[in-house]
This record gives sequence, C-alpha cells and structure tokens, in this order.
Amino acid sequence: MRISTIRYYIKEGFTSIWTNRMMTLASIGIVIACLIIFGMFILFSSNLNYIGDQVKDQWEIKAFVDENVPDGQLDRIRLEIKKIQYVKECILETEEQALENYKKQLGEDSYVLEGFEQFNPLRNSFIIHLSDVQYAEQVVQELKKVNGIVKVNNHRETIEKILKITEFVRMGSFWVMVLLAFIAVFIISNTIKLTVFARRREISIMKYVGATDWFIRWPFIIEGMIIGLIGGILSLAVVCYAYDYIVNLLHHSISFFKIRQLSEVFEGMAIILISFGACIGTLGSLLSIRKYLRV
Amino acid sequence: MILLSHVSKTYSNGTVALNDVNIYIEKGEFVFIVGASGAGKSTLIKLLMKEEEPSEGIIVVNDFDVVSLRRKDIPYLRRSMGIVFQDFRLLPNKTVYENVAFAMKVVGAPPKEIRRQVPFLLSMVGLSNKARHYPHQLSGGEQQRVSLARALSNNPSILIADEPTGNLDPETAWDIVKLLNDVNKRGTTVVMATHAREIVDGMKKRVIALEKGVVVRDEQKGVYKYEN
Repeated sequence: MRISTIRYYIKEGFTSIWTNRMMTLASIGIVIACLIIFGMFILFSSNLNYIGDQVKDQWEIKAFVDENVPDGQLDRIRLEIKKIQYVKECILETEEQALENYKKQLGEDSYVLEGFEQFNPLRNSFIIHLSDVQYAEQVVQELKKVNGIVKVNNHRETIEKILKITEFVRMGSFWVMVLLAFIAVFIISNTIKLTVFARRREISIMKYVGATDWFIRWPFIIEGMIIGLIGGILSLAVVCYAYDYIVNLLHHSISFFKIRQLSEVFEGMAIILISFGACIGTLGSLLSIRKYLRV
Repeated sequence: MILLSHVSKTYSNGTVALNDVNIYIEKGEFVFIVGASGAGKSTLIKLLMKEEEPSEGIIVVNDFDVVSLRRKDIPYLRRSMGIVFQDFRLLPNKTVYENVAFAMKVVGAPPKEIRRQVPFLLSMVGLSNKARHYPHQLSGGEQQRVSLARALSNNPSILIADEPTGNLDPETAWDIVKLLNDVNKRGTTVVMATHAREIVDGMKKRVIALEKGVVVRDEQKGVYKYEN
C-alpha cells in the first residue's frame, strides 16, 4: 500500500468526523458512557478477586488436639495431617502460643487471662492452610479421622459466600459489558451510516472510476476507529480519576482488606479501555459498511 | 473491444430491457447507440460496467469476461473504461483539478503521475485556466468537459458516454462531441448513447439503433432514423 494512499484514508477519516461532528460527538459520548461502566465493573470485580484471594490466603482450618495426647505425639499428628491431599501447610500452635495470641487479641483487657499460665485451658492445635479452598470439606473430614484430633474448626460457609459473590459479580459484569458493547457498536454504526449517506455521491463516483471495495471502506473504518479511540482515552481518564478518588475515600474506612492502588491497575485499564474502544469503533463501522455500503 | 453475444436482460419486476442483443465493437471505433428513452441504452451501459447482470448471454469488454468476473475484479474492469454521464456527476466541494485528480487517486496512482497527468488532461479539454474553479462556477459545457477529463484520467481504452449532451445547448453539445472525436482519433474506442439526432446525422459514424430492447439497425456511417 502506498504511503499517499494511507495518508488519504486517514485524512478522509478525520474529514468525515469533522463534517459529521455532532453525530460523532454523540457517539463518542455513548462510547465513553459504556466504557466507564465497563471500567468500573472491571475494577470492581478485580478488587473482589483481590479480596477473595486475600481471604483465601488468610483463611485457615484449625484442628485441636486432645489434651490427653502427650506432647511427644504432636510430631506424628503433624506428619499425618501433612499427608492429607490439598494440605499446603500445617503449623503447630502450642497451648502457650495460643494463650499469648489470645492475650494479644484482647489487648488492654488481657488481664482477665492472668494466672491461666499454670492451668492453661487451651489446647494444642494445628493451623492448616490449603492449596485449594474448594476442597475444604474433604480435608475437614480427613482431619477428623486423624488419631488425637478432637475438634476441627472450619469457616467454610463464609468462604463460599464470598466466592459466590465474586463469581456472581464476574458473570454479571461480563454480561453487562456484552450488552453495553452491543449498544455502542449499534450507535457507532449509525454514525457511520450517516457519513456513508452524506458521501454517497462520492462513493458512487469512486465505484465508477474503479476504486476497489477496500479503498472505499478504509476511511469509514478509520472513522469508527478514531471515535472508539477517543472514547477509550476519555473514559480512561474519567475512570482513573474517579477510582483514585474512591480508593482514597475507602482507605480510611476499610482496614481489614487491601484495595488495589490506581498505579497497580492503570496499565491494564489503559490497554483494556483503549483497545476495547478501538474494537467497538471498528466493529461498528464494519457493520455499517456491510449494511449500507454496497460497493 | 466490446462483444455482446445473445444478451438478454429481464429485470426482476418483469421488464424486458434487452432481448437477444448481438453487438461487436472493434478497438478504435466510434459508435452511436440511439433509441428512445426506455429502449435499453442505459441497461446496455450498466451491463458493460457490470452494474447489472445479464439474464442471458456473453459479454466481453477488453480482456474481461464480464459475466463471470468476480466481484473483487470489477474495479479493474472499470479502470479499463472511462464513463461520462448526462448529469456530469462532479464532486461539488472539490475544484476542477481535484475532481480529476480524485479519480486517479482512488485507483492508487502515484502523486507524481497525478501532478503530471491532470494539467495535461485539463489543457486537452481546454480548461487549464479554470483548474481552481468549483463546479458551480462553471457552465454546463465546461462541467461536462471536466467530467470528460476525469473519465480519461486513467487512460482507458474505451470511453462510454451516456447521453453526454443531454443537458447542453446544441452549440455546446457539438463542442463535446468534437472532443469525443479527438479522443477517438487518439485510438480510444468511443461508445456514445444519445438521442441527439443532429449530432448523429452530422458525424456519419456507426449507428446501433435499439428499440424495445432489440437491435433494429446497425450500420456504418448511419443516421439517426430514416424517414418513413
């Protein structure tokens, strides 16, 4: 392809945008709206995943050892637990350590536990981390079979709830995104249709003098692509600005979970929003060309 | 070279536009196609450009088998011919120069060649001094000359003129026909559909007469119509 030809395509694309500026503005607006919602959903679900991961990491099964089991057997129990499938880590928390931790948790009120050192009512326990949270129930059943284990603590339901919400949001955001993309493509294709209509005379002359189909199509594709790109860049700015604002706001109120910082998500967001915008634009013009540009 | 062999065209609404037409036009000929409105002149031209498909028959233009030509090859068929319309079909927002250059640009001609060819064409049709004018600043005859320059811009071997003088007064019409004759003398095949009787009678060229989609007369040095 000649450079002068490529320059022609781009010039014509921009000319159309300018000639058709009101409609172009309208479609850029729609693209921005779609991409902002899209961006928000991505950020929301990415943070939910992030929090889900944190929960998974922090989450543990606690298996308590019978008081009557002598300390000498603890090693044997630990080895038996380690053999269970999906157990990633198994750490012994002795009754003394458990008491210490308890005191720490109570903080100022820890004086109520004073004197318990001699008659420690707590049990030795094993803190177990899994390689896959999904198999928690199975592991719990196995743990109960281990000789010397009397009780197993499992917060399976809480975990499952969080995982369910994450999955729900992920699916929901996917379908919302698909719907919005459809709307945006439709609106862009309408804009391009107007350009095609405005230039029908030119197009018919081009056909008569022997322009190839693609020569006629390219300026329209570029027009759609530019609309999508502008929409992508502007929505990126809005989403990032809003996200930074929200993160700063939440930073003070949420302390038990970490939220992703803008700097962590910016690059991904930029790539996703801008390329998604360009794709929507290109798709819109291709649709319009197929329907209205019978060359 | 143009060949139509047993060509018929029936539109989907049932109108028979052409019926078993056989025409052979050699390279370098000047041919008038005459007939009343609705005789099939426009359909004939549309078939040559593959704007319409014949219902039956064989069409060959230059080296193109028009009927079996694939869609993506149509532009190359059209580049081998130039076309002039009754209503000029110039782009109103482009100057005379740009209108001609545009036709070269869309077939991917290098800018250098465009800069060389356009002034040459404009001087040939006598419009060098109006290169920067817009179509609305020109008379009908001048506009048709721009359209002729555009049709010739890619050096076609066939020039098709669909009632090129239909919108012009008789004197201007003659100027255009003389230009077409000049073009023909340089070796370009010229096919002119018309119902301008004085022109056809005055030129003494080959005349193909269509009536209700049938070739009723095809003769060298013909006239528009014999008196009954």
